[in-house]
Amino acid sequence: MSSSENQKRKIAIIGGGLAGLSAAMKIAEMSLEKKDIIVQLFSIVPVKRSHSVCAQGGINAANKTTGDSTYQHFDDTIYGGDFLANQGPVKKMCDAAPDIIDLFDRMGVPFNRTAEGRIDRRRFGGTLHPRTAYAGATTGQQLLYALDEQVRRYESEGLVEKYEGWEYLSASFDENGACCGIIAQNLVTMEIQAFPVDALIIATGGPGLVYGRSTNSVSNNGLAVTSLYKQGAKYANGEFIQVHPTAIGGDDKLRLMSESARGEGGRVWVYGDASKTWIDTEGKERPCGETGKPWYFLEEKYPAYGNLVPRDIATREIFKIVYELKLGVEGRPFVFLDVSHISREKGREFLDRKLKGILEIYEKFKGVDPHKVPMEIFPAVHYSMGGLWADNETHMTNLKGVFAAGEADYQYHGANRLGANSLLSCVFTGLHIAGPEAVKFARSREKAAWELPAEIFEADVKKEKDFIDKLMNLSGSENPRLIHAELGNIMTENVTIVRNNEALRKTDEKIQELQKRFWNITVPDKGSWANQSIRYAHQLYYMLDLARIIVLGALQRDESRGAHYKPDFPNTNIDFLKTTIATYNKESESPIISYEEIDTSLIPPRARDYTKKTVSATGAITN
Amino acid sequence: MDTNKNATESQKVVKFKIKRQITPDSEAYWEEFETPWKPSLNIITLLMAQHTHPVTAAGHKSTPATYDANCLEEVCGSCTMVINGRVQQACTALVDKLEQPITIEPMSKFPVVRDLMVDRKRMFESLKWIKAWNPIDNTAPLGEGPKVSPEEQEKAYNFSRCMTCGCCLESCPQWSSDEGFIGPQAIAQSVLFNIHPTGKSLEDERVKGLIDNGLNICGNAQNCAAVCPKEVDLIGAISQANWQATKYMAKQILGKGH
Amino acid sequence: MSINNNSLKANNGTEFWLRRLHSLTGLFPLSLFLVFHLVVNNSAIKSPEAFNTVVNMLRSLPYLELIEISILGIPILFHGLYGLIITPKFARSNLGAYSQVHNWTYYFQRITGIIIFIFIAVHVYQFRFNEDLDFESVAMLLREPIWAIAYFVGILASVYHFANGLWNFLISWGITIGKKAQTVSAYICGSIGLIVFAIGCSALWAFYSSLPN
Repeated sequence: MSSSENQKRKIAIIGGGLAGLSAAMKIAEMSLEKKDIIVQLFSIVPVKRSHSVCAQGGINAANKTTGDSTYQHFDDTIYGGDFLANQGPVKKMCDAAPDIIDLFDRMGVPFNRTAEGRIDRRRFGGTLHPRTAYAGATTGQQLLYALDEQVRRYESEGLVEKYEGWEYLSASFDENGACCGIIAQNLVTMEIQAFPVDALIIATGGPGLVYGRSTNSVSNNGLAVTSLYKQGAKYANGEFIQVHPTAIGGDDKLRLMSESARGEGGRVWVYGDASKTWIDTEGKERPCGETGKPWYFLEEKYPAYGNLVPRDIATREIFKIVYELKLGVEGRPFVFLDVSHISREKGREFLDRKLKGILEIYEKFKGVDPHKVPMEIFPAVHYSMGGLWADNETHMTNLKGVFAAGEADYQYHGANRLGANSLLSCVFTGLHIAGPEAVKFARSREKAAWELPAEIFEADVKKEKDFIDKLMNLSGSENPRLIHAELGNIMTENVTIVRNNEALRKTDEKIQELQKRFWNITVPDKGSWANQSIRYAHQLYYMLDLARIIVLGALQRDESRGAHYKPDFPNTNIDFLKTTIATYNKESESPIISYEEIDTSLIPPRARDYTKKTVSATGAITN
Repeated sequence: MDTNKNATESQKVVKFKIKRQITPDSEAYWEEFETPWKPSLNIITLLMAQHTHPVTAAGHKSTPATYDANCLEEVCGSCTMVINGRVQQACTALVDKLEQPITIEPMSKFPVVRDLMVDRKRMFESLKWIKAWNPIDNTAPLGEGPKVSPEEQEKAYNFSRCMTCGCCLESCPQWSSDEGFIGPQAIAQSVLFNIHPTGKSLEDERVKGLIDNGLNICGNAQNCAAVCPKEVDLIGAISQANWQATKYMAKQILGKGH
Repeated sequence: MSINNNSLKANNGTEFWLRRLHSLTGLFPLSLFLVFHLVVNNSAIKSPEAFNTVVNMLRSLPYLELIEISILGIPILFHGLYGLIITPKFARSNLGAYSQVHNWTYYFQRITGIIIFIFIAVHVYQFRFNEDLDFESVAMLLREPIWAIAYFVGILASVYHFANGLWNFLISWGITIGKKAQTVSAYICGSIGLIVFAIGCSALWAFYSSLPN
């Protein structure tokens, strides 16, 4: 690097998924004329392998074909999220959505097409409008590639520097308390290095690894956000973890079977048992289908939305079918997700054009062809609605110069995210908010980070080195992998679909026990070259802290809202129509939970009822 | 399931061998491991078990084998390895379909970083040589993109599923990371961007990128298409690129090139 | 990082032009000459005299040496030598792991290339520089089973290399695009190969089975 390159302002982006790459693209574009800012893009994996590739079903944007509107999209999102989302930002996102689809269209994303050659749409959960644009069943992959391509273009022009195979460890702050650098570790050479930067964007996605097995990728370890939380960043709505209703099991991970399977007409069922009953919304007792015949329980219970109720509802219904009614397939914890009738009626090729990506995954892992046989599925931890607290207007966290974008932020999905809204929120926050705001911040700094004395960074590098040395020198009897397994098991058992306070208290105690035991581990590899064991131990250390944020947030929220469901408090409670804020207390080494008001200025909160067509805030009956 | 069956199944083990290499310059060696059998195991679960108990079948203490993996559902392209002699994704390589002891090796065509981890940087670099992007003006709201027929979309989508995993390059008898052949992965991406009305404007530059990087070193062994986990039409892509190169040649010879 | 990334740069495209030339010389003039040569040999089936007449006629062509050097010698040397350079440089057979059909055809293309190179050297030495070449001198050699087998292998290798080379040519120049077109061309090239092989063998048989004077 030449010295003039060194003397440019830098913005570090941590994470190269949809949010990180959107921000990188935007910043490079904003710097194109003056070439005054260089993006430094840090990612554990090559950015093209980021977890965004796993997003299957599509991306939402209102479109004119069915009388949909951006306001309806906004209303569906707020209602689907049980009013916990911040309405100002969500409205902006929904308004920006159609242009975002157009932009991806121009970048060449191979969206499925109508006969006329326009972008096709399918229906997703929590709405009555087909507003989801999609590219087969690998939409996230296709959007990510489009951004990756544009960023590569800027990389070849010298406006983006990629640091792939580096893991973010912590941030450095100047005397004004503004972020002025990051400390990161090279995952091959294991060197720990400081990078002076003028703004920092955290776009590291979700924390799925806290649950052991989830639909998340291996890189979704939550280290960056937790490390910032321990440096003073506020963490918001941690307890709102989305459990996706349809996934397939596995010992290494739980693999998502996209909501688009239902969007294209897939049906969820189990064999009925008329001797068992359920109570409908009017209090009437009704039989669980006809004995021995398929019982399409979602269609019967939710006539308006059918199989496309929001995820939190579908997940709880499947959970009830399996554990309360004991109607799981052959008594096992599975229900059927059936697309075989579509294949029979419209042909194999029709279905492949729309869903090939997921159907081939099912066949590869299960050895059964879902074109012919119903798939066996069960809910799995999928997404974190919560994340780093960030300002609604700028997406700056409470740490100056640190911005959050994508799944790592918290504003957009409230208590439950609607399907195909995550890709939208990632791109929207990176492209329209965090990216431009970081540029503004970096340009407005009095002193550029490279001008600061090197000692600031050296001290922080030493701190990280010392910590890793400390972990490396542990020689106890505990195995980090087994501690992680214990954490994952208890989190999955007690902090997912159904929560109760007694179990949550026990879980928190258990995590604290694991935190103590953590200091009795041995890292099984003492080498200093591509050592994955030390990285794993380091990540686990932070996962334990993140788990406590989730558990304590859940424990203190005595209500049921969206994905957070407590049978002892089955309804929403207006007192909890607030954002949960967790801050790290250095003395107690624990999260302190407080609450913050939510912006509900545009749509007054109302009770959710998906058995009927909804009345939106404008008074229009949907559909 | 009766308890007898459970008892015999719990005693069943999976035997597997991992090719180890501590640094890029050190000698490779094999280590054998065992882990209890369960239904529907894949290679990733074996490696996870090896990380939990890094002890060889003979009882010697070892270290966790370094490997690349991320999505574990065959869409990120990370976990490419040579398993029982054939290159494939470790996540979709199911134990019950493999002969034991299962051999797990790093890809042979890329520089080994450590154990099963290799350096595939060249694959991403090669995308720069062929300008693998659609040159949009900017991100301003300029309206929708060009209309695309369902047929064109299908063709583009097929090429666009390439996850840069490296299977095609590993199986190609003509490709190696230190010689001048760009390989099927980048050739297919070049063809992909030449389909798009916006991308097409760079067709000549892309074709030149391919020509400068040994497009015709391809020997038509077509292993690439046979091993591609995403069924990318590499055969179609290579011949299409060859035709684009023929046109480009003609333009050069007839003086219409730039 | 001490990882070797020094190859991350483009070459200059010379390789491309040489390869295209290699492919082109294989078709023209070499394939054309092969077919012509094997057809002409068939005059031997008619009678030794017919063969001798054709040989003498060809020998009496004006500017024979010039024609031979320019449209046969140089192309053969270029095609052969370039092939011998690039085969060991690039080809690393992996038939054990990947045994689908075109990996085999790829492999045999290179094996037959080497065989043909040796075969042509011997063949030219034996017949082109034999001033008294006529039916009987050829037949004398080919009545020996060892040479008959050698020529059989030579013809087989040449025809395979020609037919598969033709299939390759159509792909390398982008004429057969896609699997379907290439499957059709495989049948066509294969059929042409079989016909040319039959023509080649019939002449060989004529010499092998002829009675000495």
